[in-house]
Formats: sequence, C-alpha cells, structure tokens
Amino acid sequence: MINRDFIGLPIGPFEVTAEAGQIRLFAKATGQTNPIFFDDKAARAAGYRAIVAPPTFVHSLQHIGQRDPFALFAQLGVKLEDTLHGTQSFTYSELVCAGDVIRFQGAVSDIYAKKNGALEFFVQDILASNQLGREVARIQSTTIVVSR
Amino acid sequence: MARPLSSYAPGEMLPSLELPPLTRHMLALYCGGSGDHNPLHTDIDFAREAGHLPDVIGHGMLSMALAARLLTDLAPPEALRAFEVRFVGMTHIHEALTVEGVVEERLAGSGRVKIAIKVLAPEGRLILNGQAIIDTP
Repeated sequence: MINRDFIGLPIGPFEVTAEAGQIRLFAKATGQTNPIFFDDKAARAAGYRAIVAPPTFVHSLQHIGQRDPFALFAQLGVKLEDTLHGTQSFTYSELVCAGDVIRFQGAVSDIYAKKNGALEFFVQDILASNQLGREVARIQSTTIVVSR
Repeated sequence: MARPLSSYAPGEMLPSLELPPLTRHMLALYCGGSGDHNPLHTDIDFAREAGHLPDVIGHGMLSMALAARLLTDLAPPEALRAFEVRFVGMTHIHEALTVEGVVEERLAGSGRVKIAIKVLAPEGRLILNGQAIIDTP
C-alpha cells in the first residue's frame, strides 16, 4: 500500500528547453503533417514564434526534463511494471514553441484505493510555465497501481 | 481545407481519423520522440517477464497524441483550451486505431465548443475516451 503521507509530496521544480529536433521527432512519431510542427519558416510565416509543439508534447517535456522520470514511482514504492496510466488532462494557456524553457512544479495531490486495495491510484498535479513567467498548462495525471 | 469547426451543430460527428496498423517502429519513434522510455512499449522480453503480457503494448499517451491530431486537423493548436482523457483499454501491435469526435455542445457566451472524443481498436473496443474544449472564431 502506498503511504498516504506522500500526499503533498512536491514534484520539481525543474526546467527543460523545448528543442526543435525533439518537437519534430514527436510530431513525426504522432503522424502530424502541418508544417508548423516541423519547419521554423513555416511556423513563423503562420505567425508563431518558432516551431510549434503539438498539444500533448508538454507531457513529454516532463519525461525529457528529468534524469529519471520514473523516480517518483520508486519513491512511492511502486514498480513501473505494475502501473497503468489512468487519466490525463491538460488545461492550456499558452503554446509551447521551440526554444521555450518550460518550468514544471507540482505535487502528488492525492492517493486512494478502490476494490479493497486491489487497485491504488496516485494523482499528480503540475503547473507548467514558460521563460516569460506565463502559465502554459495545468496538467493532471492519474496512475493506477495493480496489486499482483 | 477542413470544414470549419464553427459550422458543426451539437450532435454532429467530426471527420474520423483512420490510422494505419500500429507497428513496433511507431512505438520506437514515440519512445524517442516523447521521452517515455518505459520498456513495456518497446522491449518484448520486458513486456512478457515483468509486464505479464504476450507482447509490447502501445503508449496510452501515443493514443492521446493521435486523438489530439483529430483536433489539430480541425483547428489551430492555440484554439485548444482543454483536453482530458481516461485510458480504458490497451493497444496491441498491428491494431488499426480510429479516432472519433462528436461536437457535444456550444458553450454559452463564448465561441467555445465541447467535443467528445474516443479512440477505438478494431471491432469498436474502447481505448480511451475524453473531451476537448476548443475556441472557434
């Protein structure tokens, strides 16, 4: 059972640069075709600051920005292979564009069980902001832990 | 040019996205592109031994990114105000996914529309469902 004392455990802050090559690879991997996701000139011609990151890329930056993105799981005493992604939500304020430095800060906001503890859940609430100090997105994810 | 989102009435279905069968190559690209290096998605030995699965499975966040494509095909990326999903089923290798969206409602006092979105495996098995809020001009 995950110790409920971990509710409130801070996540971050950490910062990561949204690199153009990484955004391009993400856009290719997810089948995007609009040139604003690949080409700096096309993005600027369309009025953006630089290559635009597709909507869920901001979640990828959380992985890219941490040496061990699954360190939190170990800290909670959870094995990666016993977990499933339950929910994911984004509330957007600003686009992420290539060259932006995105700062992540949040916390483990809840831990609870269902089915008499056969399933446990932990929730991460994270605020992403950019180098201009503006809010980029509010991100929430729920991870399901299956007892084996 | 796609039909403008503002022209859809509540209850109307958006153009579906029919995706090619999921390959190991797609999962490898997403592993690198997303920074999600969980071996459950790329290493069949890990999937079998640690994950107790017959094979690797697709990333939930890959399905969400594919669902986001339905939205970015219809509206510029800055129009997306919120996007949330619940992951319901696993995606297996060689499954061709379909993304479906329906305009649920126009939010009063704004140009915003709420879209219900689903990703389905063959035979209609639900992979994820959720909703998005998008600004329309």
